[in-house]
Amino acid sequence: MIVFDLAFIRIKQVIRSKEFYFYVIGFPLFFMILFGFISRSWAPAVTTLDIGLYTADNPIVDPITDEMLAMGNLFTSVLSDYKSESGIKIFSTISYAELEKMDTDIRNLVIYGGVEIPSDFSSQASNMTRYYASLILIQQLTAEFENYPSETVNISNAINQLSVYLNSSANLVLNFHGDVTLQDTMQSYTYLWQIMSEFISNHSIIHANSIWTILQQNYSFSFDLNLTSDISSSSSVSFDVQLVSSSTGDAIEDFQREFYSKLLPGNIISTILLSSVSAIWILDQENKTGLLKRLKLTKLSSVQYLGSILLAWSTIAILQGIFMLTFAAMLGFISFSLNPLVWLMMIATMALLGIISATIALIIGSFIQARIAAPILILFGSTLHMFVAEFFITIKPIFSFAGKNFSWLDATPFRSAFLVMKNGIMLESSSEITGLLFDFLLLVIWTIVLFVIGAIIFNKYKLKYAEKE
Amino acid sequence: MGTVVECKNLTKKFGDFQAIDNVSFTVEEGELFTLLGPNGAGKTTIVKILTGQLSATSGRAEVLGVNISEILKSDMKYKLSYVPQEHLVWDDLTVQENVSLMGKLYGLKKVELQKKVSKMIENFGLKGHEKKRADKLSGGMKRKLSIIMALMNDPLLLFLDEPTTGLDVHARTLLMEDLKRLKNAGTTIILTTHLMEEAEALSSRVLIINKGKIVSMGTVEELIQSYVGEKVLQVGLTKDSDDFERFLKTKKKENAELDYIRIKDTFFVKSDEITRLMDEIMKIEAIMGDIMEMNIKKGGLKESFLFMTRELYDNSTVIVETKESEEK
Repeated sequence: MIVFDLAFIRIKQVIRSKEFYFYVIGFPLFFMILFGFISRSWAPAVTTLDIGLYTADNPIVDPITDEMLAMGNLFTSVLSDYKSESGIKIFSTISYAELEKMDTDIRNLVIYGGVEIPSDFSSQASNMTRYYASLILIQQLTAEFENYPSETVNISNAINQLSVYLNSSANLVLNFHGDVTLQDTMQSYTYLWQIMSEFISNHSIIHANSIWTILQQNYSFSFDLNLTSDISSSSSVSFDVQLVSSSTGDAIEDFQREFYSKLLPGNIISTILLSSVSAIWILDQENKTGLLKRLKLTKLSSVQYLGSILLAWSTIAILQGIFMLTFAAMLGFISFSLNPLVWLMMIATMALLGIISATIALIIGSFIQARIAAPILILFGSTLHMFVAEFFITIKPIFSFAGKNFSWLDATPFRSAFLVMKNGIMLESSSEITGLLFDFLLLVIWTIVLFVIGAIIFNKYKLKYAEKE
Repeated sequence: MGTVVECKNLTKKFGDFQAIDNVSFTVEEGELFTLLGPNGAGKTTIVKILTGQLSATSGRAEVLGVNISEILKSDMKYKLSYVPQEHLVWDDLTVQENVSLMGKLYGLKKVELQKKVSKMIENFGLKGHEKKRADKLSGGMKRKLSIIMALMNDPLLLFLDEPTTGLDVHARTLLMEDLKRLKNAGTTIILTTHLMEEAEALSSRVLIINKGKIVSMGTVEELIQSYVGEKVLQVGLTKDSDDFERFLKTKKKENAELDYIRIKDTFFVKSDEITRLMDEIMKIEAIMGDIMEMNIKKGGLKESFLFMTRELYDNSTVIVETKESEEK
């Protein structure tokens, strides 16, 4: 059969072209590997920056100032308003009434971490800030002995009163729940340490000011103090942000599965589309050298000529697709154990994509020279699939039909091919395979329509051209 | 079959440009018919019309008994073949793949195909290069490959458009031997060339064409006899060619049989008294001092062609007619 012979020759021509390996295989493969591996450090929360807050804190009454202290609430508001040096809010906080719910959301990567404020937070924070406040005040009052000799008795009494609090101890602990393997979780953990330190420092000054007001009332000092933060480590008080590990493995796996189910079909579409460049080159060469005209004197019919092109590029497409899928499976992006029916449907999809790809080559090649058409197709082929896979933007559906939503993306045959492959990769059980049929049928219709258009155009503008002029 | 090609008043215009003008000729079975003319004469246009690649503006042509407008629809198209000026091969296929594919395109069956491919490759001296890709072949080998591919259908009529263009002397000589072999095997060949030696060595008949019009047509011997005769004097001067031309003009007035053409400082002179003319020139010291070379040559197609297409080289107007029209 001359169609098979000619198709085989064309496959040989493509395989022998260095450009094929570089642009058609190398290019999409590079992006598949690049995005595939980068995605492993991605999580959906990266873009949301949500953090959970759970507080079990019990407010207390300060023994010196008699003020009600709800340190847990104060800390959560600091956390919510905390900004980076460039003035951008770092966290978007979500309050949780139940700790379990927060942990569930962490595991599902709804949030990338959660702060648990324990019940003694106010008590411990109050002890700690009182300790530092007393320390600050004692240091400053001691410095005033020489300046105000007439008030030494009052200063001594005040220092004695404050010294009592230096004997108290505090151990302020904050729990941070999250997956230690996630970079952003650990980044948040680091931020928490910084926020905690600033929080204690600021509240120590506030506390010192409150105590100083009371001391003024009791001892009527003739001087005033300039209270500044000077927190130093101490064996009697300490704070800690404890990390409570929470695994997000399943969620990440789901996320990556979803990600790869978009990435792979996109890459396969890209690689098959790019192969139309080689079709354009070969057809252009046949036209330029006069081979196309020469073929008109042989027993090869136009139908056989077109058939050989479609057969060749659908075979090439299948080889490309299988190569990409195998490579992806070897890299762990998909499982080898896909349902055989899904494999079959995906191979058929690739073959149809190959026909579409060759048809595009016939149409474009009928009007434009290869040296112009090739870069256009490379640009088109390497970007279009990103839109089809909705990598950048989600397109709103325009209408629904047969239980399926349609958007303007469905105006390209690649969308249905993409959906068959994406849903095939995501398929949970064999019974769901019927869900792929609608898009597959749509792809078949697209292929037939495009092929007819392509054949008419090529026959009119290229084969006729070859025949006459 | 007898007449293989018959053209009557064939004309082709590209816009205002008249590529061929009222061309009529016939080619008989087994002939190697040469279309000889300078570049742009219209040779390739005639070949393209006769192979169905171009349509004629007016006139009529039949190839293998089929009107040329119907040839692509007729089974007779399988019995003609052509080799254009460009190398008509698939560059990224090997020699064997190219030849095999062309055989398959003509419906040859496996056993027959294998035999024929081997035989053709061997006959044309490409044995040992079967696995070489076409783009790795030399110009001569590539041309041979084109010709082999064109012969895979055992054509009754083969068109060869400037087959030796771009080939070195060695490759050209080898190819001419191949063409002689084809001619002797009985293949009817229509060859276009602008090389006189090629036409002289190979042709059964030659059609000389210039600016789309037939200048002359006949066998090589007939053309030589008609335009230059048996001998021609070639004179090459270093300078003062005008003096020599004045001398020739004077002689021409005295002898109506004398004619010449001048190409820069070289003169080709034909006369019924060529030896006497040479003696006379040798006696004129003023001219002899400027002569670089002077010899009597056997009249050939090259000299005939120069006389036929003299308007390209000098201002003298020559009314040229075909042998056929002369006879009328």
